[in-house]
Amino acid sequence: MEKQDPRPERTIPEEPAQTGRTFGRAAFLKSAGAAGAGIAFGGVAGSAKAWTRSSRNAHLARNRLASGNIGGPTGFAGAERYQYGADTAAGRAILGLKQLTNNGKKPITLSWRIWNGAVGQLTVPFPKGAPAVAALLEKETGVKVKFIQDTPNNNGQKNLQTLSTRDGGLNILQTQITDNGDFAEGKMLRNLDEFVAKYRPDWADPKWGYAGGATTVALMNKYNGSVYSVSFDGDYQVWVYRVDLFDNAQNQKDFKAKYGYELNDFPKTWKEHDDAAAFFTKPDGSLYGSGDLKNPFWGYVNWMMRYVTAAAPNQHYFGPAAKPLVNSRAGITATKEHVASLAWTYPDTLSKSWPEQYAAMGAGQLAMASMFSNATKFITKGSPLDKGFGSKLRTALAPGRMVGGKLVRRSVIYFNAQFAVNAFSNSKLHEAAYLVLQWAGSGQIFSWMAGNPAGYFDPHGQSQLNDPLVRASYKPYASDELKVIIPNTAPPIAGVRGANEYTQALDTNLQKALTKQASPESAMAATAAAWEKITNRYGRAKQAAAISAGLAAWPTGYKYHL
Amino acid sequence: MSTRGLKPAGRAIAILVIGAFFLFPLYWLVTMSFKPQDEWSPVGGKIYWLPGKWTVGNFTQALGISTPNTQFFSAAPVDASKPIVHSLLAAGGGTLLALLVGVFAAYGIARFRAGGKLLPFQILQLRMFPPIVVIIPLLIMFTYLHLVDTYWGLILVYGAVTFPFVVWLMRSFFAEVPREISEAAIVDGCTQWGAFFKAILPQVRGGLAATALFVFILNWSDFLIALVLTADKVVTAPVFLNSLQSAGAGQEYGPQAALGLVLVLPPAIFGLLIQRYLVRGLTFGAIKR
Amino acid sequence: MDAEIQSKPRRLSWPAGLGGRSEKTVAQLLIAPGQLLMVFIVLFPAAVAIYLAFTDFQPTSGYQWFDAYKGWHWFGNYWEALKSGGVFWTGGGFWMAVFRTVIVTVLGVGVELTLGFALALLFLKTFPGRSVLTVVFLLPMMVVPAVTGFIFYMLFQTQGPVNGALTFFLHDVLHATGHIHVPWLSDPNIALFAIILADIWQWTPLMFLILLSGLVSLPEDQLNAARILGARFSDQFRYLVLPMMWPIILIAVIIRAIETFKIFDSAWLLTTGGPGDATTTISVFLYRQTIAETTRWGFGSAVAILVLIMVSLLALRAIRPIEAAQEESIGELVGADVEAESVSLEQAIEAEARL
Repeated sequence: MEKQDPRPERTIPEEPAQTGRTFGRAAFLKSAGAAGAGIAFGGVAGSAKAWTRSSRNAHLARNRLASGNIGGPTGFAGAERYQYGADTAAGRAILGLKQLTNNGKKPITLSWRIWNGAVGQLTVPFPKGAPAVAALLEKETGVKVKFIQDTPNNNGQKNLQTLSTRDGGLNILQTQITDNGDFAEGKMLRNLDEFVAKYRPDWADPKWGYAGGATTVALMNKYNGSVYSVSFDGDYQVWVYRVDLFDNAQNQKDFKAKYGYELNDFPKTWKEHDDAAAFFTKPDGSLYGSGDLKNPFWGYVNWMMRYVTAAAPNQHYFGPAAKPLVNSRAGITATKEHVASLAWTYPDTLSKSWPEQYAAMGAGQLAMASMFSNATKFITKGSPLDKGFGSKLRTALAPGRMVGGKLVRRSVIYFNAQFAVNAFSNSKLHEAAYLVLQWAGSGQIFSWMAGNPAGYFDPHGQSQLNDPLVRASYKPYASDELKVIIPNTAPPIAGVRGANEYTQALDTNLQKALTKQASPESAMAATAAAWEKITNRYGRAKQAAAISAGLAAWPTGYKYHL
Repeated sequence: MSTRGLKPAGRAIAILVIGAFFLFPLYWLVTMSFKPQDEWSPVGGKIYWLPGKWTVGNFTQALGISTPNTQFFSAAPVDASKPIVHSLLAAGGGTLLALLVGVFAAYGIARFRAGGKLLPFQILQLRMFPPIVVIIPLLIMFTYLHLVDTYWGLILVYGAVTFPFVVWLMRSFFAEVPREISEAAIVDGCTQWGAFFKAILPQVRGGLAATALFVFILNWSDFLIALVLTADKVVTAPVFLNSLQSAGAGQEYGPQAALGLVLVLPPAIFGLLIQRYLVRGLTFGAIKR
Repeated sequence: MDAEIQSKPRRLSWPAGLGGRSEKTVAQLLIAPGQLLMVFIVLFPAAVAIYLAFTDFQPTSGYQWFDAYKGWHWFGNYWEALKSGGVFWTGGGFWMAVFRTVIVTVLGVGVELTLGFALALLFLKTFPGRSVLTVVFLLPMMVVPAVTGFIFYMLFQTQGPVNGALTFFLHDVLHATGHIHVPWLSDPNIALFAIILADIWQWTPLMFLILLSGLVSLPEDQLNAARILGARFSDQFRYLVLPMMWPIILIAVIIRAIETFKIFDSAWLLTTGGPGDATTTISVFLYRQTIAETTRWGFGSAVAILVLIMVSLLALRAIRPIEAAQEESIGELVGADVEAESVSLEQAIEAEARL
């Protein structure tokens, strides 16, 4: 069941409701170096300029595809970055679509259900002078997209409705990785393997693909070894912390005196984290050591980060034959630590959520916290994250544990926005729908989209993290850190039928442990028992097979620096 | 009856204490609706017993007259003007349906004992079980009939769920009308229907109005049915109120309080108008003052 | 036809059996739309629920609901619900949810009755401002339940006004305790009482109204006689008022119990059934099992049927006083058994006089 929106409506502060005007972005666009000589970006509409030869040439160059490219946006400086040739995933998709529409002579219309807070990235032109993504698609191929908007809160319900009525009215659906097991088994998601083989998307490409390569592809797009959806988001958890506190000489001196070892730039292990959190928590409530969420629906991810680092390369949720592994020492320890960490966060944390955490971080009340990757995007003038502490924030990969001499650090992702082809829709259009997703999700096009403030899909690929617009928006230090975080991100409970039920059972028992209704041991035992019931209901053999196929989604490396 | 044991002072104190208990939550609602954002839930636990800075911003935002200060999470819509309209239409439509069906049924039961002994019992039983019990099959039914998230779907369910109240209330009102009136009308040459419309109905005008208002209050106050059967197109005000408190929007106490105050006005006004009949309605017509 | 009219002017019901086919047709036509609506809102959902309860149907099962037989489960769902154990008071499962609902009903209605009665007694005699105060005391009943849930959610925050007010009185004024930080909504042992409190706040006015109507309609002569004879207030209350009010009290209690049993809005809005399962009443349990947490429609249907059966059994008994009362006027309601009670009252007075 889809949760209420993870990172709800994250529009950039100074944008008046999605008009698409890039006026507010002028400052950072210029600073990003994207502005060419004498070419203004935002807010200077219709200025009369003298056409000098160089400016005219530049203007013409802007409106033409760079040589060798067969498609991509034009009309603004730097557009070549997002253009593509025939031998790219985007290029292959365009050529495939052109064939299907007979070079535009037989136009196709596809309907696409999407969150209203995200659709802007596809429909609103960005930057100034560029076409909108959907408009470009239509121009190049004759494929017209009709967007059906809904909200994150009821997209899950809508999907259930589509599923239970086998409704083929829509071609492209929005799902999330935790739902794909259920939807694939419910036969709503079209298996995309044959198209993937034919058109070779760039998801695992080292330059244009996901930052974690094939592992991330398995995590996002696959269920039971087959591709069922395309990732359009990067819901990663980053640990945001106040570098001024960690770098402060007096703090370092006091910490060393108290704990006997140096205070690191950012804790590398959970023990260091807990010590630092205890150290920074002030009894008068002016500063809390660690504000990672503990509330229902959201807090369990922080438990997962403590849990999955208990073994090298990972501590899994399930063993062979779908045996639950959470009632092991690893699970009990993680629960104990999770409960203990209540001491280092603000009161009533069980009924507080993201807005309170972001506001607290912005007000300088938290020394560290686990937040969405968009946190740094919101350190802009006038937002709650800019009350004087914005410039003092940095990001890092989550802490980990020493296991057999190796340091295992892992982040965990919640659920990621995915797009899938509706299996109930007209089968003749499945290929076209897939190609649209391959094209829009390709390194070039998605990098172009990721910088657009009119929607809130986050970057997840190398090319995006290197893109100047994205770096300026999310901050360079955070973009670089994401290159480390993404390959070290472990899955939540996903890629299996009933993923949400397993997670719910875990969450409920964690809440009981947090409110002292249950000891860590009994909470883990209850979780394992609930999981066994769920597994038996869905069929152990099938669940075990899916879990086994999902092993490909787990990170394998130990590289924590660029 | 002698209340000699109670001195006036004692009574005053008791009423004061109980009154404070009843008024405290309402006072908090009212003051919250006038508080600016940093006074809703200040970090550090300071409590503003009265708004430090009185503001009507919450009301203008809730009614869609102004837009909230752009902050990342408050891009979540707080404009409740459409949900209020949805509530009005759905509750109004449901009331009409309930009246239409219920008034006739009430007359049939009161005048002709239609349905024998079983029908009143069945109607009474309708109110006995929790609505959630029928919601899932209704959701399934509505999904296939494409009635989820539509006005008609809501009106149908609201009408069905409140028509028992119409039956009980109107039955008690009809029972108070002397038989002679309809008899006289029939003697004068009216059909049964004519007697009903021309002679009986005018007699219960007051009761009919009270019933309509009573049922409207019930439909207006519904939460669970709208929560399940609507998604985004026909969101009613109570469901919208709840959505203002999501992981995304956080706790938007101010606009929520403003909306809550607005929501409470119709039932409060109508309720006070039909005060005399409240007991009759809420006790299924058993206790008539 | 006129001769058949009963001649009891005080009876409020109309006799049946007046013959005439046209009347029968009219009668049937009159109730036909109502019956249709009931089929829609009761029969069809019940039929679907009965069917689904025998299956393990979920919308993600891969087939549509009428094909649910593909996942035939016999009585598995019923068995799972009925044998659900759980930690006492805060555990999950069907029986704990029922238990919690019963607690809320019993405590809630009990306190509402007591408080409402006290208020009604206070308001019995006219005093300046009575009508205005009556309006004030009616207000909580008029608040939309969803808004009530929201208000109490605000009030019960650990750093909220309830704790603030308690701190003010107990700490600042009386210096009796330290700062009050009761975690109303996040302590699993207390959260249920927060919900009961919200329910009491909202519905005591109804009890107050009902009981006041009853008290006002008590026959004056009996009571005056008792007063003149010198009966104490407590004796008047015990031997006269209470027995005469009994039918009204019964009806009020039954009605409130039925409504409280269904409680959802405040339970959901205050705690969403949490922390954990600590405030999961039966409606919240069903909602979580079928929509909010998982979509086990087969299991949910079985639980719904169980609840229906439970409620129907209770309703069969509970309805009789209500049905009877629907036929009578309030004067008739409170006039019952006056003879017997006045005798015991006289005996009590005499007993006291002898002392």
